[in-house]
Amino acid sequence: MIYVLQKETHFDVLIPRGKGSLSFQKYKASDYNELNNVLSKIKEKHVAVLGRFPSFLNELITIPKVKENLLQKLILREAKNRFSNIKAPILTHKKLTDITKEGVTFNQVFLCVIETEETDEILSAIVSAGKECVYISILSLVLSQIIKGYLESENCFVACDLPHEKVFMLFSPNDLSLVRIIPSETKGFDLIDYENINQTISFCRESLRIFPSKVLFYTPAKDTVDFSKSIIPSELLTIGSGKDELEEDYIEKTILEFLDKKFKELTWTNFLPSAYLTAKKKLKVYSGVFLFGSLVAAVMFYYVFTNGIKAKQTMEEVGLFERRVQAMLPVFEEYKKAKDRLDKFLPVIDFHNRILSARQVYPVMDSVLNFFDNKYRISEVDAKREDAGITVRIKGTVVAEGIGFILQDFDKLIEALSKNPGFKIIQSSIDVKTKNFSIVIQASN
Amino acid sequence: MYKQVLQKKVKKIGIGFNIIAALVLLLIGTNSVLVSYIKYGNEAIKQLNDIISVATRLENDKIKIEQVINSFQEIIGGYGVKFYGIVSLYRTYDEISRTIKGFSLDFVPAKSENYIIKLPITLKGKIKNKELILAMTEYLQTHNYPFVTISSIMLKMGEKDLDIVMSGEIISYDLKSIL
Repeated sequence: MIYVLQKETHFDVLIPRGKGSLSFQKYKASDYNELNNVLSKIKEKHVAVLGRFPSFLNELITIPKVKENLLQKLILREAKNRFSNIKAPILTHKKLTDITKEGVTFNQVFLCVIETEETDEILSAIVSAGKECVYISILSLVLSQIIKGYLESENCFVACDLPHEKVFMLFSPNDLSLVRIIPSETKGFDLIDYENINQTISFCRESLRIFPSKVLFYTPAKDTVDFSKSIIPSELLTIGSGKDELEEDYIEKTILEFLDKKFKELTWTNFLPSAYLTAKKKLKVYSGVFLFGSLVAAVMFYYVFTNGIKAKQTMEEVGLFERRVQAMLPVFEEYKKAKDRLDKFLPVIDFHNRILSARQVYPVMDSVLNFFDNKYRISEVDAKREDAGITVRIKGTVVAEGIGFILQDFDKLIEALSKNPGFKIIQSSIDVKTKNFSIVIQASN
Repeated sequence: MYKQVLQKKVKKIGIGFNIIAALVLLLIGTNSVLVSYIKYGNEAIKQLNDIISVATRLENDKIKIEQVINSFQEIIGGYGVKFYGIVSLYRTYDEISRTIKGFSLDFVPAKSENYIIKLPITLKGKIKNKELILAMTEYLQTHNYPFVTISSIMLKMGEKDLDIVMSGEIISYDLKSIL
C-alpha cells in the first residue's frame, strides 16, 4: 500500500519498507503533477490518501428507531437537509449507541461529509499514474479511531496538537460525536486554543447535550499545556510508550501503522466518491471480460495450433496413402488381365477335369459283361458315356429250357448285377417265349 | 478528470476486447476449417486404406489365379504353348487310320469352342474276339495332346465275328490363343 499524506504545501508519499514494517520510504511531491510522476515510478498498485478537505463537515444526528433499509433513506434525507451548502457531497456515517429520551429510543448517527470536487485532482493524479485508490479520508478521522482505543468509559474531550492545525474531538463515551479542525501554525496550545476548547465544550454541553468529564491534551509540546485554563478537569494523553513523541513525524507514523493494521475496519471513514467506485467497478468488469476473452483466445489458439499440427499430419498421411494407392494401381490392371485369362482357362480346366475324372467306357462294359457266363448268350452291347455316368444296354437270350429255369437264371443275373455297388439297374425285361432279355445298367461316375 | 482517464482506460480495454473477440471468431473459424479438414482427411485415409486392402486382396487373388493357370500348364506339360493348330488333330486322325487297319474311320470336320478343339471320330469294323477292344482303347488312349476320348462302344455278335462301332473324339486345347 502506498500512503499519500496531503500537507499544507506538498504531498508526502510513503511506502512501507516491508510488510507490517514501521519503516517507510518517503518521497515528496510539491503538486499534483509531481505526485503523479512519483506514483508512476512506484510498483505498488494500491493507494490510501489522507487529504486536506476544507469542506469537511460533521454532525451528530438522532433519528427515530426504524428498520435498517428505512434508516439509510432517513440518514440521506437528513444529510441533504443539514449539508445543503455542499453541492455534491460524499457522505459517510457511523451508527452510534442508541439513546432514550422521554421513553422513546433514537438512533444516534455521526455524519461526515466532504465536497466531491475536492477529491478530483488527487484521484486524477492517482489514476493517471495507473494506481488504484482504495481509501481516501482525513487524518483527524483516523487519529480519532486511534485515540478511541486509549480512552476510559466516560465522555471525553480530546484536544490534539497536529502540525498546522488543532483538532478537537468529543467521545460519548467511546463513540466519536464531534470533530472540529482549527488551522493553527503554533506548536502547543496558546490562549486562543484554550478559548476555542472551552467554547467547543460549551457547544457540546448546550447543543449536543453531552457533558465531557475531562479534557485530554495530545501534543508533543507537553510543556505548553496549562491545565488551569480549561473549564473542566484536564490531563495529558499518551499514545503507546510515548518515547517517540518528540519526533517530528511521530503522529504520521502512528496513524500509518494503525491504518496498515486496521484498514478494513475503517470503511465508514472512507470518502471514495461513488462515481469513482462505479467507474472502477466498470473497469474491473471490462478487464475481467477482456481477460476472459484473452483466455478463450489462448485456448482457441491452442486448439488451432494442435489441430493445425494434426491437419498437417493428416495431409502428409493422405499424401502417403495416395502414393501407395498410385503405386498399387497396376495391380488392378494385372488382376483384370489374370481374371480374363482365368475366364478363358476355366472352361478348358473344367473340361479337362471332367474328362480325367470320368470312368472309361471299355472297363465298365467289360466288368458288366463278366456277369454273363455260358447260361446267357449276348447278341448286342451298347456302352455309352452320358452325363450321369456310363449306360450299358445289353440284349441277349437265356440258354436254359423251361420257363422256370429261364426265369430263375434271369433273376439270378439281375440279383448279381444289383449287388454290385457301382451298378444301377435302370430297366430289365425278358420274353419267356423267345427267351430274349434286355437290360439297361448305369454305372455312375 | 479521473473519470476521463478511467473512461479512456475502459475504451482501450473495449477496443482490446473487440480485437480479442474478432481474433476468437477468426480462431473459431480456422479451427472449424481445420477440424473439417482432419475429418475429411481421416475419411479419405479410410477410403484409401480400403482401396489398398482391396488391391492387396486382388494381388493375392492374382497370384492364386496364376498358380492355377501354371498348375494346369504343368499338368498338360506345356503342350498348350506348343500347339500347332488344328492340323495336329488331323495328323492324329491319320495316324489312327494308319494304325488300326481294316476299320473304317469317318471324316467329320473339327469343331472349336472355348479354346477346346474336338474332332469326332467313329471306328467301324469287325473283330474276332472282344479282347482286341481293350488293345484298341489302350492304343487310342496312349495319345497325349491331342488326346483321344472314347464316348461309346457298340458290339453286335455275329456268327463268327463281332461288329464293333467305337465313337469318340480327338481333343486338343488351344492354350496358345489364351496365353
